[in-house]
Amino acid sequence: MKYMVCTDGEKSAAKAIEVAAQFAKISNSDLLILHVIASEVSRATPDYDSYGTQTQKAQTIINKALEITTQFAPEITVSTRIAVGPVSAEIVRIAEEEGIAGIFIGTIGSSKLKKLLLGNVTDDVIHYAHCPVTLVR
Amino acid sequence: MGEFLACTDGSEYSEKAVKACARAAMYSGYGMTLLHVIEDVVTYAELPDEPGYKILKEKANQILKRAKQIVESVDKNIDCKLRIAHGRIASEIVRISVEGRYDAIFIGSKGTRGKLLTRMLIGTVTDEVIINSHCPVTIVR
Repeated sequence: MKYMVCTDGEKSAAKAIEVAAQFAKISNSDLLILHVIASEVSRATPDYDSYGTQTQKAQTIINKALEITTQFAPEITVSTRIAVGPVSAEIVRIAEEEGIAGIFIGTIGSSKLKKLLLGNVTDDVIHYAHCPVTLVR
Repeated sequence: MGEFLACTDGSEYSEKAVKACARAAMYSGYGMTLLHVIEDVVTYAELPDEPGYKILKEKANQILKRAKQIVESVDKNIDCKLRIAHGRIASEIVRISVEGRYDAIFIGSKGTRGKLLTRMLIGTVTDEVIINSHCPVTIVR
């Protein structure tokens, strides 16, 4: 069985990675860390420079996530993946492709106002994912 | 050992949430509690012989019995408790999850009320649980 956690490098994502790693540990499962480089625009005319910076940033985010998993659950098998595209659609597509048993995702912020907002991405993922989605604050 | 909380109102999505919770309990060896909240019955709780309350209580027992069967269909060895609570549904779910120090709440994306509004993506109760919960919330659709 394999779980998936989505990270955007934010604080809420760090907590989601921690919870996902612990879930994977207790249920003897693998974990896939996914970061999606947001791009609503076609890559037909890619701006290579900014694309290079983005992939670099993405790699930093993934490395940070790996540090968290080794800290909380060094024994689990972790794989990573970077995707490019509309974020929620990519998350849903990759979850299906990889046969994921559960998606872990952070919800934004703890301030009163932000509390009311789940975030578009999270909302879409809950609605379109084929598997259960765990929200972590 | 940890414990999961599965909320059910007998609706289609909530039964899926029960199933998902049972699977998680089976794989992890954690325990689980099936929770059904009877809505807004402060007065009923004070009048246990009131006929309306008896009907709701009977319904609650049936819902939990069915949920228990779903859990047993996944794995007979899961340590599964049943619980009925009274009050505002979302507040009770959050309160019980904090009080019982549950590791995660499993809940359907919408329940009996949201079912009627097909355009509604996430039910009002689920939404409130997500916003106020202190532990991870797993949404099952």
